Amino acid sequence: MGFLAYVIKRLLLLSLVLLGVSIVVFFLLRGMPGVDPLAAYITPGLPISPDALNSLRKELHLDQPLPVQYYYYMNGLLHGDWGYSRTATQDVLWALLERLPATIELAFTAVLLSILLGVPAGVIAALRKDRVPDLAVRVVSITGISFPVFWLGIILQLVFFYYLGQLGLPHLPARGRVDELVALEYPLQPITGFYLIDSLIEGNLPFFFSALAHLVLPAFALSLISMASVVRIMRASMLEVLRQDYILLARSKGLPARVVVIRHALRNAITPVLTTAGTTLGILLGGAVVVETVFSWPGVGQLAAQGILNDDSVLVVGFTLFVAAMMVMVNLAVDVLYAIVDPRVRY
Amino acid sequence: MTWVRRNKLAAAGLLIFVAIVVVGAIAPLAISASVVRNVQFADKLTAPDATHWFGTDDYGRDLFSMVLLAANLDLRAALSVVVAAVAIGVVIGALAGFIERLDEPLMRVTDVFLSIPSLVLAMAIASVLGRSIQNLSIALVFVSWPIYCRLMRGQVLIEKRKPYVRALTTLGVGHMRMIFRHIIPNTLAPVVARAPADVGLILITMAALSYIGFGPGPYVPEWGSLVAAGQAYIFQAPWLVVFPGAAIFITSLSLNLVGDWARDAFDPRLRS
Amino acid sequence: MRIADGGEYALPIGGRHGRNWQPGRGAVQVNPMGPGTEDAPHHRLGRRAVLGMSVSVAAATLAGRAIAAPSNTLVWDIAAGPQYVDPVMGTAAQANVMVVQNVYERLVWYDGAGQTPIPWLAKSWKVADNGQRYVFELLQGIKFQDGTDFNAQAVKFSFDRAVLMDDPTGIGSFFPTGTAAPGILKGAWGFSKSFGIGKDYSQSAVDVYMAAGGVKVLGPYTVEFNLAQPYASFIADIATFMGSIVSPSYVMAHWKQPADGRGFISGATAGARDDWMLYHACGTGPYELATFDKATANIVMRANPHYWGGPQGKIRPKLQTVIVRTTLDQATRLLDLKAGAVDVADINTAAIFDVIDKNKWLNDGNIAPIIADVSVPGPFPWLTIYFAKMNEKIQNPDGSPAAFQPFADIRVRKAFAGVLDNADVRRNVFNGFAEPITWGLTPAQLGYDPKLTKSYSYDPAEAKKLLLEAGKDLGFSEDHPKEMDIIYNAAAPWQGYIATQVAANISGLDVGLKMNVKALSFTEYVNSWRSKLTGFSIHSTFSLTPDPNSWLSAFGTGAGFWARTSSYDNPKADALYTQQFQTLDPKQRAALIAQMMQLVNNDMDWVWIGAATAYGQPTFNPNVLRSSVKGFYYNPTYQGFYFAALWKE
Repeated sequence: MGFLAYVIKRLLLLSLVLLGVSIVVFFLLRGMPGVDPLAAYITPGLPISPDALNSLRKELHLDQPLPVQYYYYMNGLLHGDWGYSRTATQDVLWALLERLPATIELAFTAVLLSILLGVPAGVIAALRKDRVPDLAVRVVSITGISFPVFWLGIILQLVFFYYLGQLGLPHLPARGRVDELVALEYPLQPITGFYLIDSLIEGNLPFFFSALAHLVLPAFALSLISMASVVRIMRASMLEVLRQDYILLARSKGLPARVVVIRHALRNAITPVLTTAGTTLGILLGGAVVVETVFSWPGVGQLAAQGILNDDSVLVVGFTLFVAAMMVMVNLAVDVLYAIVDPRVRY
Repeated sequence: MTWVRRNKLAAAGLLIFVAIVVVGAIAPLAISASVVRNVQFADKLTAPDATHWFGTDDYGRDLFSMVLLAANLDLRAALSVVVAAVAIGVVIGALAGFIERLDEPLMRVTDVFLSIPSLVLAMAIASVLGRSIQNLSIALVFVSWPIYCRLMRGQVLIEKRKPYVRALTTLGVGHMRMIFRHIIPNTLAPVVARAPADVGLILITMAALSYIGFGPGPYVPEWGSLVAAGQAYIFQAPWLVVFPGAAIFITSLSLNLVGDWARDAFDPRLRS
Repeated sequence: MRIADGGEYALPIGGRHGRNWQPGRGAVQVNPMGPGTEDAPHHRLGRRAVLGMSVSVAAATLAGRAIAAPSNTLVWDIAAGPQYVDPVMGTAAQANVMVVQNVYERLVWYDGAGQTPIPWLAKSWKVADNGQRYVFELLQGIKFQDGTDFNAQAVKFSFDRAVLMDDPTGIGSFFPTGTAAPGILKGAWGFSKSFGIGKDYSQSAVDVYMAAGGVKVLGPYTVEFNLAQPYASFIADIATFMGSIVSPSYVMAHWKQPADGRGFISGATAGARDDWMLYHACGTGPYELATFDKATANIVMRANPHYWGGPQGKIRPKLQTVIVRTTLDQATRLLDLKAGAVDVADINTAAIFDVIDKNKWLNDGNIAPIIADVSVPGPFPWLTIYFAKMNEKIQNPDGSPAAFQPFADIRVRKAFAGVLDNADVRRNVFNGFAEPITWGLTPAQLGYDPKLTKSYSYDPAEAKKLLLEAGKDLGFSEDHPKEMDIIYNAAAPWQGYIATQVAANISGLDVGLKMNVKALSFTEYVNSWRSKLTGFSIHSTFSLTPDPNSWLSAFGTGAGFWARTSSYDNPKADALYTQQFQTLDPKQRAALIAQMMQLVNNDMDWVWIGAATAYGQPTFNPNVLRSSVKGFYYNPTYQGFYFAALWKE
């Protein structure tokens, strides 16, 4: 089937999935037995007259049967009305979109780090299979995901911010996206919302360096979540590739091992890693909730965490839908890229 | 024993995990549950010593007892979540793989759950259901079953084409019997490959949920909520975070070591 | 998917051969190795990696050096950032009020550490008509931060705006509207919908309020307030952030007429929030709000170069920049403090022994910091109190009265009060940062009487006797035990400690009461006691003004905020309350207050655990300062700091 037809088919399927997510999310918000749906929309502790409560109920169509409510809900969603979050004191969709670039920058860097660190580690483990480096790499990477992330965060802060600082060594910042004093001295005009990109576009080097430094610790903590699987997949893939005939051919031609590995084996072995990079992003979005809280990173994850403490179901549910939508789009993008690359995919 | 020699890591992991399970099983018998309610403010936040091997927490309770009681609760919860998720996922996946008509709709449903990152979905469910270990477990089951479903379906699709299945169909064996008596037992490999590591993942996720604020409260000993509660005292009383955190870490590590071996051993397909 | 012939192929991500795939500007190429490259790409990567690393180190060093702020900048790691900065809104958050306190000013205020309001933006005032009419002469020549003049029109606008916007989170429901009929400003009570009195936000309702003449402009610098009843706390109330004067031209420049038919005056829409003023500010104060970043909840304030100097003309802000950074994680705040990266940090009371020496404080009462170069202000009689309340009429979720009403019996109330070891709690739960109180006022407030008697004391033996007796009438005993719940807010561990102590002590008496302690989420916790579902609960409350009115009404009158949810009602106390409310002479008033308090104490619905003495947020995060920060003085009406008074050495 043609490329366009394939894309359209994937688009339709993924829309169906999003619809399914919206049903699940709607059910959580309005349909849970024993939970009064109105509670999510009122700030606890405020005096509210019964009249105000009733008019709110009508406004939210809570007196109608669930399918009707769902219609209004979907209608609202499609028009950009995702409800009002009392945690963010703004509309849910706006609140999430405003904070999205911060999370994307963090998650993206984390994926990058996990690949930059995980790929070489996986290669080494494959090349020295079952010997000490292999065991070491596997233990270290497994250790990485066995830590509770928030625990890891505080340890990173302790070591790289506090202790290094105490010893007078250059140290990394433990909170925020950028040094506030630098931001005041060298203000940034937000264009994309990605600090690294915007500061480079504007030639604002002090801001760039500060933002980069602030990315290191949180991105590293987040990257550990996926690093073990990157290492594992890379190792397995590498082992598979190394057994192929063309590798044997290259070696028999007399090419040195390093060239063989890098020019031939690596390029072929790395594909599965890149496939999973897409789904890894989704896992990282979940982990970002914790990392952003520990490192005071103003992204969507931190907002969601605050929403939970505040019992702001409208926000939490909106966040769920938002993240699902992003995952779906990423999956679509990966599928499309595959379709471009490999015609066999478009069955 | 050659197995042990060949797979040192996995063997070590298995040994550690079994030890933890034994400890967790004995704990409620050896330690009285009243420890949880035993508040001694004067004793609070004391460092580990001869009477309190892990020190005391912010309620003055013996941390060693709390960590051991939590072992029981956490292991039971994590294991039951994985068992439930596997059961549900395997059945649905087998149905989807074997019965053509059910494949598309069931896979779409699975996709829906797969598009939501686990922590996020668990958060959403728990925020609506309320905080308790049972609700957390329910949320985590919802989050974990789709992977097993997918794995199972993939395996069944392949298995379906094997000669013995066709033979049995000609003999008149019904769908249900075919699925449950023949197909599932032969295709459990990838599921077994994945499950141990999953238990560790569930433990970590429960800890993360407690940190965010979904913990079951101070009267339910659970490793994650012990660590989350200890965060506030991390400089005054680091043992509050170190010991329960180490428990999570060691359990999860041992499971991952076993899981790593399981993956390599049971599912060569996963390598590509 | 890979093509297993070992030949050329294009990688899906970052490859240069994909159709329609353009790496965006600044987008990172994941795999720089394209097909057919001659030099080993590994080297290129290696060099790039090295470059990247050195840049990072440079950045880190830069970041490290930038952390030590110049001496005219103050950096504060705050535990919870502001939500909005419009003075008509935002009661509970200290951070909101802190900004308002520095950017806006009021007609009267407190001079330094003084507790009696003095004229501030006003020159003088006269009281007439038995306390129902106040006429203020305003100072001339003061300008708002946008350059416009401060005058009587601005004052009228500020108060009218507060009434008309009638925001439920804000002070419209307290001052200037009031919490009970007939309200405070004339016409305000009839307009407000907060208590279900006002009917609508139409233009006619607005016109009715405006015509009532609550605030009148008598001359360009003369303004008159007409009150609906004599109100002794009027001056104290307008001295708080609730009396902030806002620049009308600034508000109007960003205001749009409502399109939905709501009533309005130029600059304020009835019953609606002003989205611009939520996050921006323009007052006469010594600091301007430079930025308020919603995503991070960080605030930057800059010194107002045209500040008029205060009543003596002597106030000149020395700190040019104040940066308030919201840092949710307690450990990070502590690290920042220890590393010297911040000048002020909020440290949780529970973690206060990370900062000061435990034994020296608990045993000797000395605040001895164990971190170099910090100081912890205190102990001060802060305007926050901790108490437990007992509900005389517990309700079922459906609204019907519960079958078992233990707290209707005064013996049960006395017993429960008698097992709460307040001294132990003050020492071990609040880490010594709480002082005993005889009533729901702090010792610093007008009318507080240290000689009041509480009719209970910590006495478990007595409690046991009382409960055994009461059990006979109420139907519980060791053989037929009854279950009871104590609830608390899961996000407030201090409540959990107290709840656990009470539960353990009662259960330990073996009188037939089985106590369950339940940790509830914040919403459930609030709903539970507001709907009277709970019998025994633990709370803290803080007052915006040193005037005792708000707590007197809340605890002592049947319609009061706390009393309502405990079904507490004592008509004699109600009468005394109204009397003192209208008594302008402080001595007479204090005597009436003492009478009322004793009456309420005898009813024993409240257990007074203590008053907070750590300087900081009502949410138990004392502010810890570096010793280089000078000029701090304590005023109980401040929330956070008055930065114009501070400087760094």
